[in-house]
Amino acid sequence: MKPLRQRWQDFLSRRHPTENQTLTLIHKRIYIIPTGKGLGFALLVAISLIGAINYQLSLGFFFVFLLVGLALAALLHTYAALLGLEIATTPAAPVFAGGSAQFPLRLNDGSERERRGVVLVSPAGECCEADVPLRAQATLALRIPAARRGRLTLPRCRIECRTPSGWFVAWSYVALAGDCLVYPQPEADAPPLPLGAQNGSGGMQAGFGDDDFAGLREYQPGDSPRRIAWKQLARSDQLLSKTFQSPLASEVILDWDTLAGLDTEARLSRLTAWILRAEAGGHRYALRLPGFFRALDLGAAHRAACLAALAQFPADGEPAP
Amino acid sequence: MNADKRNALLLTGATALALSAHLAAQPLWLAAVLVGLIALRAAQILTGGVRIRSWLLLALALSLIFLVFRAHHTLIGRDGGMALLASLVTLKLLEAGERERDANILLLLGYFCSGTSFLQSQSPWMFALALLSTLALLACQLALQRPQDGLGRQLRQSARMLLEALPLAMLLFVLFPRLPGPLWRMPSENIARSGLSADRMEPGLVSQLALDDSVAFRVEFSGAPPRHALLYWRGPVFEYFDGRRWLPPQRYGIAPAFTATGMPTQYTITLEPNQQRWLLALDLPTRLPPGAQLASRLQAVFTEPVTQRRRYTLTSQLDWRIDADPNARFALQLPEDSNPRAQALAAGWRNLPPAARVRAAFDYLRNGHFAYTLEPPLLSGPDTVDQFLFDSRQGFCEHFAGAFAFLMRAAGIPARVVTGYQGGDYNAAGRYLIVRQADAHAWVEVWLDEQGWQRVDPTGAAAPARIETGLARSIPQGGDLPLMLRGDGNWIKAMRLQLDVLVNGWNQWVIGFDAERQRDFLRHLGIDDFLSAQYLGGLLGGAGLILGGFALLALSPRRIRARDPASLAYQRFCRKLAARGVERRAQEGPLDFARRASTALPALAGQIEAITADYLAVRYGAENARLPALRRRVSEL
Repeated sequence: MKPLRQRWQDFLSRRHPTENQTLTLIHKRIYIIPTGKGLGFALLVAISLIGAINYQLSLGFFFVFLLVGLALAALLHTYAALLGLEIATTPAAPVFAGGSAQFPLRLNDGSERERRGVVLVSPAGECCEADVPLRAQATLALRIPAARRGRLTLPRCRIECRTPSGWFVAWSYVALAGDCLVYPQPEADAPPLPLGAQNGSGGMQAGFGDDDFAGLREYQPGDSPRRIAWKQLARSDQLLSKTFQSPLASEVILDWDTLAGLDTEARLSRLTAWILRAEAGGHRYALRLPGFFRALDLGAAHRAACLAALAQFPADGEPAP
Repeated sequence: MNADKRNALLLTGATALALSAHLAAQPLWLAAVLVGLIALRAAQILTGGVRIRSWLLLALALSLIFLVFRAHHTLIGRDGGMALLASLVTLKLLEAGERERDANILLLLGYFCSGTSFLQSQSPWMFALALLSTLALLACQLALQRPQDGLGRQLRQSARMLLEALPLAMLLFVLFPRLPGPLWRMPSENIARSGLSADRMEPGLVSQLALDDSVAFRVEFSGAPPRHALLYWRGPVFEYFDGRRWLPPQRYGIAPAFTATGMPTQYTITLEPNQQRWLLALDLPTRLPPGAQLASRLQAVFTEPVTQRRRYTLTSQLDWRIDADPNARFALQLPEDSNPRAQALAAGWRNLPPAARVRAAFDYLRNGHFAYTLEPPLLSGPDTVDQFLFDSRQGFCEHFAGAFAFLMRAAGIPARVVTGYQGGDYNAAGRYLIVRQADAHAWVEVWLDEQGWQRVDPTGAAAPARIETGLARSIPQGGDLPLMLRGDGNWIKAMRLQLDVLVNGWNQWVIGFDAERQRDFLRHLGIDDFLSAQYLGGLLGGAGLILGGFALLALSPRRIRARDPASLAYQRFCRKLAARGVERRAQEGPLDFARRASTALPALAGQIEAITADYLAVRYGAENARLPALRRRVSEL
C-alpha cells in the first residue's frame, strides 16, 4: 500500500493533469476553505447567536446574520479572485545547477475582473504575490531551486488567494508544461584554459592588442603619445613605447577526451567553467563531446548551444544520445 | 504617515467606535478613564512611543477591574460584564503590538462589542452606530490582509461587502426560527423600575412623572378610540393608609364577579419595559391576553415582570357594575388619630345618604379654591391630608385622590386609590395613541351599596380640563412642561409625532419581531410550521436567489461598457473591418491594429488611418470637435 502522501499526489496529478502552455482556472479546479482567522470569526458568530437567542435581542439576530452575510460575501470575493484567471508559462532563462530557476508565469485577467493578492506557492513553500489589474496581465517569477543539471520541468504548484478578508483561502493547482535548462555547475577552481595545447594557432600575438602589458620597445614615429613610457624617459632619457598584447586571435578546443581521469560530472563542470572563461576572455572556442561537436566560435548563441549540450549530456549509466 | 501607522490608527478608531455604546453606558469617571487609555494608544502610535511594560499593564488591568466593580457592584451579568468587556478590550488595545495576531483578536473583540451594544439599546441610532463600526472594522480587516492599499479603497470595498451581506441578513432575520424564551435564565439585573410606583402612593410621587415625556405605552384601537375623558388606564390599587402613604393590599385573591355592560372595545397595547407586572388596561378589561389575569382589585397583572417591550391585545368594556365584593370592607381602614381636621369635616356628612356624601366631598374640593399645580408645596409633618385640605390647597392628582379617599373613609364610605394613566396623545399620522409617563394619574373608587364600585376623579373637581383634554390645558401656563406635553400646536411637536410613527414601526417590526410575530408573519405567507416544505422551500429558495444574484453581479464577466460615443463609433469601425477579415486582437492597441489593417487592406489604408487619428484625438485628446468627422468616416467606410 502506498503512503498517504503519495496517494494524495497521485490524486492531484489525475485531477490536475499537466496542461500545455496555458490553463484557465474554472470552477471545477478551485477549492476554498476557511482559514484559522475564518474559524475564529465563525466562533464569534456562534457565540453572538447564542447571546441574541438568550437575550431575545432582535437586532442582535440581525447583526449576527449580517456577519454571516459578510462571510458569504467574503467567500465569493475570494473565490472570484481566482475564477477565470488564465495562467500561461513563458520560456524560462537557463540557469546553472546550484542556483534557482525562475519560471515566469503570466497571469491574465480572463474575465474582466480585478484580482488582488494572487499568490503562487512553489512546492518548497516559496511564495510570490501579484495583483492582476483589470483587463491586463501580471507576471510572477516562480523560483525553483535547480539542484542538478539537465532539464528542470515546472513542478505542480499551488496558486492561492486570501483577499479580501483573510477568512477564506481559495486555491488551485497549476500544472503547466514548462521547463528550464539547467547547465552544469562551473568548477570552482578550474585550471586555466588549455590555450595552445593542441596546435600553434593558439597563443598571443604581441604588439597589436591593448589588453595586457607586454613590454617596451624603441619609439617609432606614429606611436600614440599615450603609449610613451614617461617614467622611463625621466629615468633614462630614452624615448620608449609601451607594447600590449591581445588574445584576439587566440583559439582553444575544449575536448572531452583530454579530461580522462575525471568522472562525467567533474568533466562537465570543468568544461562549463572553461566555456565561461573563454567567453569572458574573448577566446574563440570549440567544444567536442562524444557524439557532439561545435566548431570554433564566440558569442551568446555559441555559448548557449555549448552549455545546452553539456546540460543534456547523458549521465553515467544513461544511454548516449 | 506610513501605511502601518495608518492601519494601526484605523484599528484603534474602529475599536473605539465599537466600544462607544458601552462607554456611554458607564459612569462618567469610568468612561473618562477608558477614553483616556484609548487616546493614550493613539498617541503611542502617532509618536512611535514606547510600549507599556507588562507589569504596568497587569496593574492597570487589576485597577480597571476594581473600578468596574466599584461602578456596578458586580463583574458579571449584563452591566458588569459589558463594563468588564469594554475595559479589557481597551487594555488589549494598549497591549497590542505590531503582531498580526493581536490585530485579529482586536477585530474579533470589536465585532463582539458592536453586537453586544444592542444590550444597551435597540434604537435605530444604535443600529446605525453598529453598522458604522462594523464598516470600520471590516475596513481594518481588509487593511490587515492588504496593508498597502489606500484607505478609500478599503472603505469602498467594505461598504460594498456590507451591501452584499444585507439580503442574506434580512432573509435569515425573517426566516430563522425564533425561540419563545431564553435558552437559560440569565442572572437577574437590577434595572430601575420606571413609571408608576407599585409599592406606595404619597404626595409628590405622581407629579414627579408629570415632567417625564417618555413613552409608557402605545395603543392601537381596532375601532374608533373612546373619548379622552373615558381613557382610564388602570394600574396599581392602594388600599391601606398609614397616615401619610397609601400602600397596596397585603394579599391578592380572585377577582369578584362583575357584569360588563358597555360596548366592547378591542385594542392592542405595546408596553415599554417597566420591570413591573402591571398590564395597563382600560377600566375594565373583559378579555385578557394569555399569561395575564385579573387580580382581586380588578387589576390585570402578568405572571412575570415586563422586561422587554411587550405587545398584547385585549378587550375592555367601559361600563360595568359589581354587586358584591368581600374586599370592600378593607376599604374603610383609617389610622385612628391621623388628620383630625379632615376627620371632623367628614364626620359632618355622616348623616347624609352615601351618594350625597360623595357629592359633598366633591363639592368641597370644587368650591374650596383648590389649585391644580405641578409644583405643590412640600407637605411635611404627620397630617398631610389636613395640610393639603386646609392650609396649602395646592396639589397634583395624588393629593386630590388621597385626600378624597380619606374623606370618604372618614365619612363611612369604602374608598380606595387607583393609579394608572389617564388620557393619551392621539397620533393621527400613525393612527395610534401615545400614553406618556406624564399621563400618570390617580383617582378614587368608592363603594356604594346597590351600585358597587364607582369611579370618582377628584382632580376633575379642581381641574376639569385635565380629564377632558389632558395635562397641557389644565396647567395655567405650560412653561415648565416638557415640549411634547404642551398644548400649543407647535411644528416641532408635529414633527416629533411623525418621528414617533417611525419609531413605533421600528419597535413593532424590527425590535418586536419575536417568536409570536414571526409565527403570524409566516402564517401570512402560508407557512405554518418550521418543518414544513414551504418553510424549507422559502429558506433555500431565498438563499439560492441571493447566491444567483451574486453569480450574476459579482462573478459574471463585466462587459466593457462603452458609454462614450467615440468608443461606440470605433467599435462599429472594428466590426466593419472584422467583416472584411481583419479582426482586432484583444491586446492590440488602435495604432497597432491600424498598421496591421492597412497592410491587410491597402485599399482602405487612408480611411483607416484617418479614423484611427480621429478616434485617438477624441478619446484621449478630448478634441470633441472631431467626433462628427469620426462618425461620418466610419459610416462611409
